[in-house]
Amino acid sequence: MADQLAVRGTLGDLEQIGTWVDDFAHRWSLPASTAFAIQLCCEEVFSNIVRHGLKDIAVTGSDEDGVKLYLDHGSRSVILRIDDQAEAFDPLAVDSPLHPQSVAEASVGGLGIHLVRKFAQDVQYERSDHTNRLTMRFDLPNANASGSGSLAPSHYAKEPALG
Amino acid sequence: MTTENLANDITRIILAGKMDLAGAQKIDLKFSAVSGNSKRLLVDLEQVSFLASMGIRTLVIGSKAVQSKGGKMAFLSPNADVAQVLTAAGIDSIIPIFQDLTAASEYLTS
Repeated sequence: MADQLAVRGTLGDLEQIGTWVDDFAHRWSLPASTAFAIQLCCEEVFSNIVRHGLKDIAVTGSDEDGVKLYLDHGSRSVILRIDDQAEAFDPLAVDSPLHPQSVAEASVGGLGIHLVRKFAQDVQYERSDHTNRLTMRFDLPNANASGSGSLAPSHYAKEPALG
Repeated sequence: MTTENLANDITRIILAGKMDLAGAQKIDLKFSAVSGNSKRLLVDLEQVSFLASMGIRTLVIGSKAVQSKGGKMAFLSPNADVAQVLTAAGIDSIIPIFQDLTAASEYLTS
């Protein structure tokens, strides 16, 4: 049974999301580096959704289209899933920024999804039922992929070499 | 966030806590003011427990201010996770990371 959190979709929700992840990490005694990676991915994905996907909804004040977060602890990995109902947007289709060669060239934005790709062992995007669904897998130390819990996309089980 | 002046005209900024969106917003103005007045800036990250892209944004904007005056910036003693964020973002190749104050000071004054 996965942990769930539904929030309205404002940047102010980040504090509640942080506490939710902390509680999950504490309850499962997650290694600090795994908890760090999950916190980082939550912050980056959620703030992207709010700033880009939900900006119009935030203005109109509709609370139907919130963001739902799920965390599931499998035998060898933790799955984080984030669902939103903003317009279809696949963050994985965006190119990662190139590593800067100088301070002058360094970008001050666009890093979020790049960090998610680096800190999660696998990231999958799906669009169905007017919902953007991003699923991230965090392997626990000394564990290979698979055994990811009930939230894992079905093909995870077929591809144990992922990551 | 606290600042102190070290020998050789080095300014040390000591950051503490989470450099997430909320944490970055709290120090943005102050960090920008200090970096705008420093040519040798050492950012001590030892007490920073978390770093996300909005925190990196604050650090990079500060480094641009330092460099625009021909100055240098370096990081001191990030924990392993924070260092991994800097590396994953490619920031460590333009703003070096040191675990040792002496080595950092030598870089800033060279």
